[in-house]
Amino acid sequence: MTLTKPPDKFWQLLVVLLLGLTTTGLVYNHREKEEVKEQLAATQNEWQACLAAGKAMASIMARQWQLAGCKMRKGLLVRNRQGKTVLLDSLVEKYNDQLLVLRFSWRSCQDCQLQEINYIQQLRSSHRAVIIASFETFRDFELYMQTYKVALPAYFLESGKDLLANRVENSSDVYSFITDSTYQMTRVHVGSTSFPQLSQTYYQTILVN
Amino acid sequence: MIWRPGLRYKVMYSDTSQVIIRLLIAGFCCSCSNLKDKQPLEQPIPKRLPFEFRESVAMADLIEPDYTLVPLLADSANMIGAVSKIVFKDSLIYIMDGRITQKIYVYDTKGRFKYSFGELGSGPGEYNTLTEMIVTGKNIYASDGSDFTLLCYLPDGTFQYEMRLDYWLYEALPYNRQQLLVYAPTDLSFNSANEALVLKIIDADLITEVAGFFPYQEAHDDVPFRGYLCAYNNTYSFARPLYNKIYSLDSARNLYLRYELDFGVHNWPISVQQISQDPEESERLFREGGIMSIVHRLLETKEQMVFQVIMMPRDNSGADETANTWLCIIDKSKDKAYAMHTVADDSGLTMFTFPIATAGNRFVSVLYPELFNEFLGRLSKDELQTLGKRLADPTLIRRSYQNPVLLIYRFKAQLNI
Repeated sequence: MTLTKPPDKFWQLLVVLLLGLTTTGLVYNHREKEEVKEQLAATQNEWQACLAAGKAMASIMARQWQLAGCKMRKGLLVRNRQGKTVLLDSLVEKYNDQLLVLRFSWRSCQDCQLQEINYIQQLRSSHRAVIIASFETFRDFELYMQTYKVALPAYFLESGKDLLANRVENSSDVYSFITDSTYQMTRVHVGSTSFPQLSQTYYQTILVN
Repeated sequence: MIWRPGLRYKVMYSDTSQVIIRLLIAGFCCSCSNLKDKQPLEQPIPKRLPFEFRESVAMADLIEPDYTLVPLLADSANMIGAVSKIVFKDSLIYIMDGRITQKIYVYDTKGRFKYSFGELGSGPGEYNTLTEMIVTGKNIYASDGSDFTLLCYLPDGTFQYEMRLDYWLYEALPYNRQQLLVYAPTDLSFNSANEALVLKIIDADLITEVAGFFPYQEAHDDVPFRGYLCAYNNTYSFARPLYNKIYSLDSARNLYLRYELDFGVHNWPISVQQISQDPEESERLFREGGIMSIVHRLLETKEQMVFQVIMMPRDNSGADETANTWLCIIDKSKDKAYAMHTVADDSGLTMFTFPIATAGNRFVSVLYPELFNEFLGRLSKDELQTLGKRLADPTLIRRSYQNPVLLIYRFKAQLNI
C-alpha cells in the first residue's frame, strides 16, 4: 500500500476552508457579543428609566407634602386679563370655598403648565378654577394667555412675589390646590408631564366627582 | 484635550465585507486618532484677569453715543414674548422666543417683520419645547428640549427634516462649514441621574460626533443652562461657569484656556474662590439656588468680551434677581476686567439692559415695551424727534410700541469707569 501525496489543490482548499471557518466563527462570535451588548444596554436603559420615574415621583410627592397645609398670603393684589388690579381675597370669597387654583410662573416647565390647563379646560366644571401666574411683565402674561387660547379666568401676580404666606413656593413648580375662606391649601397636586394620567385623574376627581 | 471618534452607522453587507469594512474603519479611526497628539506648536498662555469692582457706572461713560434703535414691528398675530436668542445673518435678524410664544421670528435690519415659523405640536416641523436656535448660512436648526430632536428649516422657514439626538442639546453654535459646536450632557437617557456636560463638535447633517472636549468628571459641576458659548472671528469661546475660566477653540479644533478670572475676595453672597476650589461645595450651592450663574451670556466683539454674573443669597426665595446681577467687561487690548453692579442714566430710567447678542462689532440689548414706552412717555416732542433719529427707520417714530425694541451699541473703546 503506498501513500500518495495529496495534490497541491488540496492544501489550498484546506487553507481556504480553515480561513473561512475561522472568519465565520469570528463573525458569529462578534455578532453574538454585539447582541448581548445591545440586550444589556436595553435592560440598563429600562432600569434607568424606571429609576428616573421613581425619583421623579418621589420628588413630586415630597413637594406635595411640603405644600399641603400651607396658607395663601392675605391681602395680595393681582391683575386680571384686562389689567385691572383685584384683591385675591375677593376671588376666594366669590367662589365660596370651592376654588381650584392652578399656580405657575414663567420659570416652570411650559409643557406641564399647558397640560394642566388643557385638562382643566376639558372639564365642564372648570368654571370653579382660576390660574394665578407670574411672568416678568404683564405683557408676557397676556401674550401667553392669548397664544395658548386660555379660556380660564387668569390672574397675574408680579414675578418674585410669593403666593404663600410661608416661603416654600418654588418658581419651578406647577401646582394646583383647593382653597377656602381659611386660605388653607388642601388637596395639593404637583403637575408633571411625566405623569399625565395623575393630573387627569386629579382634575376629574376634584372638579367632576 | 480629548478626541473621540463616534462613528455609529450600520453597514448592511455580507459578513466578510462587514469585517473588511470594519477593519478599514478601524484603520481610519486609528490614523485619525493620531491627530489628538497633534497639538498646536505654541499653546497660548492663559491670561489671569483680576477684576475691578464698580457699584455704579454712568451709561454715558460706558456706551458710545452712536447707538441705534430697531423697533420690531408686527401685527397682533406675531407678537414676540420674551426674546431668548438673537442672530444677525445675511441682512436678517432671527429672533427666538423660547419662553412665551415658542416661535422663531425673522425681521429685516430696519425692524420690519418678514415671517415667523415653528409651532408647538407633534406634527412635521413642530416641537414641544423650543430650547435653542442655530442659524448657519444654509439652514436654521431648532432644538426640541423635550424629546432630543433637532429640526431643520430652510432660511425662509420651510421645514426640511428632523434628526433624533441621543442627548439634550443645551446650546449650540455653527462651527466651520456645516458643523455645530454643542454644549450638551454626555448621558444618553432622558431622565438620567448621571449627567455630565461636555463641549463637542457634531456634523450638522449626520449628527455624527467629530470631537469632544472636557473629560466627564471635570465637567460634572458645570451648569445646565445656556449663554456660555460665543463666536468672534473664527474663535469660539466657552465659559465654564463654576470654574471662572474661559476657553477658546479655533477652527482647527485646538481648545485652549484663554482667561482665568480672578474675582478676588469681593463680598458677593458666596465666595467665588470657594466655589472654584471646592467642586462639591459649588454643586451643593448651585442645587440650593445660591448660585444662578458665574459666567453667563458670554459675548465677544473686537474690543471686548462681556458676560453676566448672577449671585443670589443662599435663601433666594423672593430675592430680586436683577439686584444680584453684575455686568462684567473684559477690555481685550489692555487685559483689564471690570464688574459693574448698576448702570445708570440721567433720566432715572435706564434704557440699558444686558446685551444678549452681537451684530458685527456691536452689542444688542432688548428693550421691552413696558419700560421703553414709559421712557418715551417722559420725552418732550423735540426729545422724541431727536431719539427718532436713532431709529433704524426714522419714519417709524411713535409714542408707544407693542413689541420689543433692539438697542444696538458699542461699549467705549477706552472704558472710563
